[in-house]
Amino acid sequence: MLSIILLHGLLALGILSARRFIGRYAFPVAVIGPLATIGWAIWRAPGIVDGTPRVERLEWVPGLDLSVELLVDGYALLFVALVGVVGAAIFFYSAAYFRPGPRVPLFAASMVAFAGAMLGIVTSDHLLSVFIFWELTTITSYLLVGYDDRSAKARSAALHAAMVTGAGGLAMLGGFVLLADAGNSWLISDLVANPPGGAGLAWLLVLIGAASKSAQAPLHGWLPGAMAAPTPASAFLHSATMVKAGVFLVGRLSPAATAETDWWWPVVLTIGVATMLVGGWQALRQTDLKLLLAYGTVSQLGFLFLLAGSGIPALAYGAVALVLAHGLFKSALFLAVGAIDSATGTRDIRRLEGVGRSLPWVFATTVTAAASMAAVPATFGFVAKEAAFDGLVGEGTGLVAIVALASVLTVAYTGRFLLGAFGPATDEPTGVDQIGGWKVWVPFGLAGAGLVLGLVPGLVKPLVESAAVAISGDAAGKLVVWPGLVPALGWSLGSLAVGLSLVAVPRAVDAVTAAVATVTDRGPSTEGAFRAGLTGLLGGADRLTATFQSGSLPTYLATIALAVVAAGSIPLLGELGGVELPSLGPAIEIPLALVVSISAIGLLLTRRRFAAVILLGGVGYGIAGIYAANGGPDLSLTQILVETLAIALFALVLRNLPADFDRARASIGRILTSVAVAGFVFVAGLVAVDSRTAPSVAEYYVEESLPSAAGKNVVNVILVDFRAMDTLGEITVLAVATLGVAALVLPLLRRKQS
Amino acid sequence: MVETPEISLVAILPELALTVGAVVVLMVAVSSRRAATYLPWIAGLTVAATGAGLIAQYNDVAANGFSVSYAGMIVLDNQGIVIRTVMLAAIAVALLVGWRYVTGLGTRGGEALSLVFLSAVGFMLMASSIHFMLLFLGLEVGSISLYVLAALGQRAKRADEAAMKYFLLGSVASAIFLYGVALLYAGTGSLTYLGVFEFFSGDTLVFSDGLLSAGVALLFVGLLFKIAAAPFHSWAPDVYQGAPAGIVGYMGAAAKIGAIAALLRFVQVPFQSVIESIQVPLAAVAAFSVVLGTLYAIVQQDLRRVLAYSGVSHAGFLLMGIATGGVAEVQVLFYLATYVLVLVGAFGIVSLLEGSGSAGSPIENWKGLGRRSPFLAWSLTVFMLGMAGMPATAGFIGKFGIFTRAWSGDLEWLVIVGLLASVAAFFFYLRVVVAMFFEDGDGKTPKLGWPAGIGIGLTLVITVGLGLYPTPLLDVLTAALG
Repeated sequence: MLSIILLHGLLALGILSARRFIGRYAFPVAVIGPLATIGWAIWRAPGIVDGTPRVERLEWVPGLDLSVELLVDGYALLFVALVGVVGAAIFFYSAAYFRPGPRVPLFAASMVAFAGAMLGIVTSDHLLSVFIFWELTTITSYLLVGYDDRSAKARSAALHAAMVTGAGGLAMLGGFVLLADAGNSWLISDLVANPPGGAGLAWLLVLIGAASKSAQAPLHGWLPGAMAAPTPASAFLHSATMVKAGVFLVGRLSPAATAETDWWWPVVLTIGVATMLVGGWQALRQTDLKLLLAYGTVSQLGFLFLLAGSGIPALAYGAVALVLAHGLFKSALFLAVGAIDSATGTRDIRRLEGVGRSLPWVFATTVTAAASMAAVPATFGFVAKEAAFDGLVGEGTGLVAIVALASVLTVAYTGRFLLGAFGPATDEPTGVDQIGGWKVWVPFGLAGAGLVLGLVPGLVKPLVESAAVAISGDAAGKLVVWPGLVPALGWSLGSLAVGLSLVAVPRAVDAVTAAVATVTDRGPSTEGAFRAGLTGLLGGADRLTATFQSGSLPTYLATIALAVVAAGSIPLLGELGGVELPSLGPAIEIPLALVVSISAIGLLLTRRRFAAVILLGGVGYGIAGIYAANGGPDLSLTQILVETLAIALFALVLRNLPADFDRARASIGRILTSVAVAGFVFVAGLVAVDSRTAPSVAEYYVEESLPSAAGKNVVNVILVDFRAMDTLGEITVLAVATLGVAALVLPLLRRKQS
Repeated sequence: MVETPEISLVAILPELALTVGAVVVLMVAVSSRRAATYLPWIAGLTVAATGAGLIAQYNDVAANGFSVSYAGMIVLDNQGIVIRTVMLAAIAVALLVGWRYVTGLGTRGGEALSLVFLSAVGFMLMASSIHFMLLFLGLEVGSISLYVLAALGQRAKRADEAAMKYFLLGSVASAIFLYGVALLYAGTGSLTYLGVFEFFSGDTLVFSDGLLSAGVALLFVGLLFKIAAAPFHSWAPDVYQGAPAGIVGYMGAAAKIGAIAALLRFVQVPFQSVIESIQVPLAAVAAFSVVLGTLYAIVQQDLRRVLAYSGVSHAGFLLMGIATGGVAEVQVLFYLATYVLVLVGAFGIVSLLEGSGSAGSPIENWKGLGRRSPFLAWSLTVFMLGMAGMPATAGFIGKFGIFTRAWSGDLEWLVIVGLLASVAAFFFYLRVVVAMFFEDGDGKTPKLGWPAGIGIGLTLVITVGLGLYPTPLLDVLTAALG
């Protein structure tokens, strides 16, 4: 399997690299991937169906315990087959659907990369690789939805889908990590075999991730938006495969989750039922065939989520059968809509007319697939739904009744779909062009497969049974053409009949949905919530940037200074309590300190550069005086020398600068920052003076200067003898600095001369 | 008499080679009219000599074990050799991809070259220093060279502003660092790593001493500034955007190598016994950097700023490994090595597209590059995926290694923060990829010379090679550091 996944990656890379030459061969090349998948599935199916999962293990980085772990059991095989069959069909269809253009190879590459990622999700046993492939499908889906890059709507829909499923993926990743930690293994097979206890949060996070990917209410808003993708992508990703990833995952994990938590099944049930009803209801209101199908998909996904997430063998059996059925009929319907769209130029049910007469094969396809969707007997949709109802009957009448209600909606929107596509137009009708080739026969084939399986379900029975056994340990259901007179049949035929009666009164249904809509549309929508959230996030990031990353040097300095104060003052303040104030030195210190302080304050207030330089000198000379008063004449002399030199240099520079500073703005923030920094330095000084515990190293230097180094000038000896290495280093720094200054200044001087 | 400290030439061989190279470059540049024709040879010889020096060091350590010389200032050990090798690789790739920048400077190309060598000397010394004074000197030699490099390009307002900011803020950070060293000395009475280690291991609860704690905090702040960890990162975006494209990748890489080398030794030796006290603040800075860098990067419209903010989050990931103490040293070094090469390579591509002295690189300019220059577009894609940590690139192995170490080092919360941020980061790493391949634009078509081609190709091979099969390097690192 690993080689098949890699093959998909290579095909995608190859098509992208050769995008200039590949032209119309992009899809014929891409289809190699799904065909190889089908070949692999047929080759491996006998062994897997017999109950021996195919395990592939590749030691990747033993030092980090990284390995690639693939496990293909019956459950995974079902999805592998679905990806392969639907994928191959859709690639053939796409070859006819797209007019050759520069962006078509991008589409083909994204699709084949997606197919590979999807195979990765369903065959990975390692949670991390599940996650990686999961996010790869998000990325490829983003590219496919945003394929029409000139359409702002498509780009925005792509972003919406990517953000919701991406964020869900993040939650899921958090859940995976917690799960792996609790169960002490990254392998799904281990975690399902020995479910870790006490990992409630982990299960919840995983559930959120799965629900976002499978468009469960209230996160379902992205899926209708994703219909901005070209129809083949919608058929492949947004109905047959990607949106089933969440269903796949809860199906895999629900036995363990229900064993370890008592809330999992009620929560999944609530989500599933809400999604079914919301999707079905919304589908009844759509006028765009594709959107109608999209909401129908939402509704079906709710049903699948409920069944697969139950952890109950009988329901799991229904889930796997329905996954297969839904994949076949929904992709057929999407592709048929694509064919209608390209023949008429519209998907609006108010304008379509005469399609059935002009395109009889498309009509036949659509009716067959729609019958499967509505679970009309003799279709595979009926067979699968019977299996599901059969399981549900055992779980209580209330539950069956709710599902039956959703089925009524399904029948109703199926009718609306058929009438809309082939019935009379209410608006200005469109013409119908003739189309043929793959565009007609691929959906026909998919729909026909549903019909054949509806009559001979035994063809896929081993596959469905081994899938059910793989997740629930039991094949607690049956696939039969006619179940006999059982309660399940009553429920399904009953909902069919009620649904059909609704179809008979379309105007009444429209009136009711419109009336309800006036109320419900006023409430918050997921789309609106997403927009508001996104605007808030980007706006917040922008404001953050504008405040802290304004490019203003004072702001940067203030940020760093405050961080330093925060880091340094926490330990310092604790010391402050025991500090003894240093005793006052000679009396002359008082006037000197006054000079320093007054000069410093004046420095802040003056607007004249020259005055500022003089006042700066005042600070320096005052400090030199304090040195002298405390018995350090040499230090004092050095300080005076440096100050004088600095003033002279400043005076030279000042000739080239304006006489006044720019008007400084004294904001509260700046004043507080200054006070904080000054306070920090003051406290540090106070604590430092008080904290000497060891004798000064100076005494050692003074003592040893003459005997060890034969020098009478202690400062010199320290520089060139005791700390000679440091001095060498300092000289090096100075040399580098000089070099740098020269490199920067000399060219300017040269330019001035010439 | 004061004893003469032990002088070991082999301990500083690579630095010596680079210094000689820098001096020769300068001499030739001022004395010969045909300097430009000699520069490539001198540069190549210097890099080769430095490599030879590293081999000599490796043999020495293999034969004699690690050794300390220069009065306890310099250690010669495998960890230092690994870091210097990374530094050398960064120089080599940077010179290859940025060679057009060096030659474009004309007579000042020699100066740029010698400053690159000198900065490397400084940061390499940081890797072998076990003395806080020498560490500071290395930091200054390296940083000052970088300040000048930032200003050396064509005269452009934004470049000048960036260089000035870098210089002023960098100097403040150096001052903070130095004050930290002073307080540390006041508290422990020692300037050597070993002395500080002995002081701390005598009394593990010393952090009651406020002055000492403040000193240690300031010491770390100085280095955190150099690696652009949040909240000390504010200079990075402006500098990454404004400094000459031909050299800015190297600038970012070199400073990170030096400072990470120092931080790694900090947690291994001087502060090893008090790691519990510094772990929480370090982990907090790591989390802050990862989250802030990612959030900021998402809203950027300029690839260079994206790379700058991604650098902030990479600093966070590296700190995550450092916060675990010495246990993640192999992973940190692997991450560092692969990240800096990709950083240099990515900026090399930026400079090819925008011109080596350019400032800024709006995403707009990248649209349609996939058609105009497939090699560069693919290379940048791989580099971006590498930074994002996509499996099959070295970035994934690096992140995974650090995450697993941090997880087993009781920093689970930090790993979860890092994981979520690194997934969110795909959003901005992929933006430029989408622009290159999926959006149309008619920007410039870069010309790829053979030096740049070799440099980028080399980085590409390393990124993918180590992503697919990292075991040999991990084994070597584990053996060297074990």
